[in-house]
Amino acid sequence: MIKFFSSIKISIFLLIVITLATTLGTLIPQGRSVEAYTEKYGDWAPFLIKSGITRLYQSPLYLFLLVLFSINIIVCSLTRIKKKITQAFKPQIMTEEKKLETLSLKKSFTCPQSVPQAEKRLKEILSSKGYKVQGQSTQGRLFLLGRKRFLGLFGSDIVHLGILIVILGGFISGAAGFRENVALAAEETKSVPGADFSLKLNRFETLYYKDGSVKDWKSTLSIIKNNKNILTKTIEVNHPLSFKGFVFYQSGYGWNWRNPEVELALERKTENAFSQSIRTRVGEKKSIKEKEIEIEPVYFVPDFVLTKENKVTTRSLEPNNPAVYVRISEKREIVFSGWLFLKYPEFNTRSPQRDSVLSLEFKDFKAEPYSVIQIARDPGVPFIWAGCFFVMSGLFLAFYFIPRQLRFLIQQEDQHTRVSAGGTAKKAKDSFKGEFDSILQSFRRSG
Amino acid sequence: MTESALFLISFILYSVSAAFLFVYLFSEKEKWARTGYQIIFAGFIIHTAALIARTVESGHAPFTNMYESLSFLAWCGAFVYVSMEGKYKIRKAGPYFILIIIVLMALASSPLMPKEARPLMPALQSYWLWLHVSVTLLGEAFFAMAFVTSILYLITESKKSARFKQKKDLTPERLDFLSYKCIAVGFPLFTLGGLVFGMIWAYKAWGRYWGWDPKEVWSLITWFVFALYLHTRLVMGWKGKRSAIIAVIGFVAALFTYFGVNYLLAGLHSYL
Repeated sequence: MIKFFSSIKISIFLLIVITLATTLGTLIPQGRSVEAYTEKYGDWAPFLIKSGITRLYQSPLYLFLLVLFSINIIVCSLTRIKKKITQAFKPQIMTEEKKLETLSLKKSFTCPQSVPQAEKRLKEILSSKGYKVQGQSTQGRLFLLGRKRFLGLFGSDIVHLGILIVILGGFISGAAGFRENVALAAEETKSVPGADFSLKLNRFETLYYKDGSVKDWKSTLSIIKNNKNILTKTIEVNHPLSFKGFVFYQSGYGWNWRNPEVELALERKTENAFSQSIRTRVGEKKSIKEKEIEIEPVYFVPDFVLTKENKVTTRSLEPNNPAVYVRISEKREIVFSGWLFLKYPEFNTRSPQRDSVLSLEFKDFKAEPYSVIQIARDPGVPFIWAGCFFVMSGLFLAFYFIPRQLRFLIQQEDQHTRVSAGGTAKKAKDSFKGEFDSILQSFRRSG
Repeated sequence: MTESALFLISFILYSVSAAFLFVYLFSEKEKWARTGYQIIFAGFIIHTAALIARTVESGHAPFTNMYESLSFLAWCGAFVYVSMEGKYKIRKAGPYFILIIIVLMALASSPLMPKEARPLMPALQSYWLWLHVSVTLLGEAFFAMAFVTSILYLITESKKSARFKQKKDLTPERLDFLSYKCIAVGFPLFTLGGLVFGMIWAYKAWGRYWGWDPKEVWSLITWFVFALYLHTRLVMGWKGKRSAIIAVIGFVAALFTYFGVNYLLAGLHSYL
């Protein structure tokens, strides 16, 4: 089993499968309603929903793939790390000439210095280039090992550790994280689910650019505990408030459309002529002229539209086409009922008989704005940042902190001292070759 | 000088430089390459001035709509070209890569791209806009270079013609090496900018670090493909053709993340 999971082929296979599965999730829209899938995929819809493809990234199969992948990463890293630790901390210093000749960089030459002189000089040069030098001698032969950046050996392991921590963080977020939107009107307080404090909105404002587009939303929030105000902060998009593991985001806005205040202008030009402006809330009757005339705005929609079945509904929650349905009675007899439009008065319903008698216009409305605050608590987040940190440090080590090793064998040979040198640096041969040559050059020049 | 004039001058300089380098490609005369390099360097400097002018004029980072983002990506491409040429002498792969820069500049100048600088919507008002977009696009520009060298690898390898082999800096081994070098730079940049900075910003702006938004998913897919490239190469010792094919797929995924997602898949990133 361990052997199975430690195989790089399995890693590659899993990586390909996960990539394909992840792609599938972008080809089929995720998390829509059953009706939406039925409309788009017909008979395939039940299969898609049941198999979890419509919530692919949360589906057991996808999570199972991630678990397999994690196991694979762990086993792969563990089976390889022992060798790397030995390599890094208990390196073999002795290298026979034959072995030296197999290294990617090699050179052998003689010099006039004695063996100890040559050793001293080489050590100086290597240290000045940042190499850590270890030596060992047997039977008049001296072996030197110079190394630097050997932490880079663990770059990929650190990346893999980071990825595991990110996956773990993801699972924690999925299992224990929670997110909820709450709508708060000014001065309104709501309890925070799972916390011993409440959230109060003191003030909410929308800032606009000169061209009328939204610049920002700002909500001044207070944390209330035992009726005491603990903390007040103004949040805006990109600047949330964090408190005791909870984070409060400016996530949206809206208006309370249930009973906005409307302003109507009522005018009669014929007998008993009058002109009056009336302010009242939707659902509240208002009477004028010694209660002879009663006016009631019955319904309000912010964005009037007619459905195919000729029913009134709202296209959005934005006040794009505000309309109010008003009923007027005079001496208890209904004289008008119909829709009035703020922006398109020419479409106002006209009362058939008494058109000339009574005219009515929709002048203005006022709805309470509310701020939508996202309350989030996600214990997985610290893991994600820690994981990202490891991934980035590991990538840096793996690509830009490539271990360099220089091996030397120095021995007496007739009247000379023979120096055999060899070097290895995977992934960075070009720049290492330069250093290798310059080290040997400065050594030979000194002799 | 205005931003659009500077943009146009850099566009012209890039085109002229490409022409010089193509002449070099066929004439093999060193002076054409040297002049071509000097011209693209000048174009890069002027393009930098154009981006600065844009930033001053709009008051925000120069990559908040498709025009700005294309122009910035082209600038990243010029940067990658200038630095890769300086370090590795990529000469003969150069003119093909400059073609990509020119296509990006042409797309940016197309009348279909709205050019006026609009005020930033609330979610984009963050210094993470700078960090996330610039680092990601720079990484993608390196992927584009790896794409060009990989394609050239596949062509030279399949032709195996003596004519191609003669050209010293276009040997398949060198192209393979260049592809790897570009990915070795692009991958960490893309990871940092696209994924890490993206997650941090998403957490600040939307309240979650990851939401399986199509753009997020596609940057993950891109990342997977290049991870595959690195593992098959560094652990399994794949080289040459198979590596080149993966690098091409990776760039296509990156391209789809950048362009396709906006037009084909709806999501939170739809403003760009």
